[in-house]
Amino acid sequence: MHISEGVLSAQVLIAGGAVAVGGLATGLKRLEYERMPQVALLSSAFFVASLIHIPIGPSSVHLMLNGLVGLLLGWAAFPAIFVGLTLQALLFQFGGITTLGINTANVALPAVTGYYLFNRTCLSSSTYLALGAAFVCGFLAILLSALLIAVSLMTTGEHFIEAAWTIVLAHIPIMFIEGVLTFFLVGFLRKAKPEILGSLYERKKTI
Amino acid sequence: MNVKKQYSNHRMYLVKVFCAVITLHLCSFTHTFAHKVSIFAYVEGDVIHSQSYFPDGRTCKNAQIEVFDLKGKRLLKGATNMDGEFSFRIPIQDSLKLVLTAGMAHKAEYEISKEEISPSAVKTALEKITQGQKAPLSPASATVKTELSPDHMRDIIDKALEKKLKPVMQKLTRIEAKNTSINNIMGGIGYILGLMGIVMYFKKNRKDR
Repeated sequence: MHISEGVLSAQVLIAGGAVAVGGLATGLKRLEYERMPQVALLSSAFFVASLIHIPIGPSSVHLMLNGLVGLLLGWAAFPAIFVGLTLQALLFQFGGITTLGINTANVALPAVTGYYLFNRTCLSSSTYLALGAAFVCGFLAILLSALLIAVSLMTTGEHFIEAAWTIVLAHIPIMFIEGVLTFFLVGFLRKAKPEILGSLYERKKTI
Repeated sequence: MNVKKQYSNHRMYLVKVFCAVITLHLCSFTHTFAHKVSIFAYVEGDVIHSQSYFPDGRTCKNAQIEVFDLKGKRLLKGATNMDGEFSFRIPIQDSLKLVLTAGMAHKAEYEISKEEISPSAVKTALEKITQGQKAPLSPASATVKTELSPDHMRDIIDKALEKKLKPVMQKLTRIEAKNTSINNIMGGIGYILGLMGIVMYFKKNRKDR
């Protein structure tokens, strides 16, 4: 899921960078002091997750956890994912410094989408509904990321449909794995620490 | 009492999840990595050998390799074999750039400097001497000269060195390609915690004010 340096054109890199900066600003502004350790924890999880590989066929794909990060953090997913990606670029040379913006945008936008679509449902009193939403959130975040990457690659002359198919097909197993992972984690959090799932809005209302 | 029990249950669950993640992680080290590709090349005589790797040492099969000069003009194009190798004759006596494209947005570059390809400083000096000698040579004196010329000696030494250095070069490639170590992982997590501390410190100051 990391686009290497020198693949994309300058326009795409700048556009991605602009989206990332916007997301980062929003995320940092909305970041509550009390939520900082949680952001750091999920950032670490994201940082390590992409080292976990599932070899399928000729290629292999790695965990991303962006659905989970988004579901729990909302806009704060942007700083969490940005920090994770920066460290991956510096320490493991995954992706690269120039592609940091576009990679952050590709991974964090689906995360924030997941938050808006599913965060409330995960707090629903119906366990089935909540866990179903968690699964779909984990699943959908990867699917959206794959599609965004295909869009970014389109500008390099690759056919969108072709690129999208290759990337989406390669990530289908990860979609299911992340769906199940998010399913179990939300199930656990609902029992043990439901306040972590509570969005900013919800928590302010209860206080 | 009940609350306490529930709490310890949750803690056990957390410990289990943590252990599972760690095990999964350790297992994954033997698996394949595909975020990144590396290419490495070395000169052997008038041929350049290149090798392409994923960070775990797995080779890139059938990946496209293009060779450019410094001005960005493409000189030749080829694909790696089943062992991730691609060799070609040196097209020009100048710095070259090898670009590997392994699909799905994976790309890597390797530059071979002019010094590696064309004779090094010592070599050129030697050549000048031999050229200086060669110029006035008549055909008759050439046949007399059967002992090893500096040119010949250089070739022999070069060949022997290249042969000896090949395994070293290959090992270097593999070391260069692999950089996901436990130190890096722990270091990264440390950086994140440190960043958290910095952000919290500044946010706290603002909160107190």
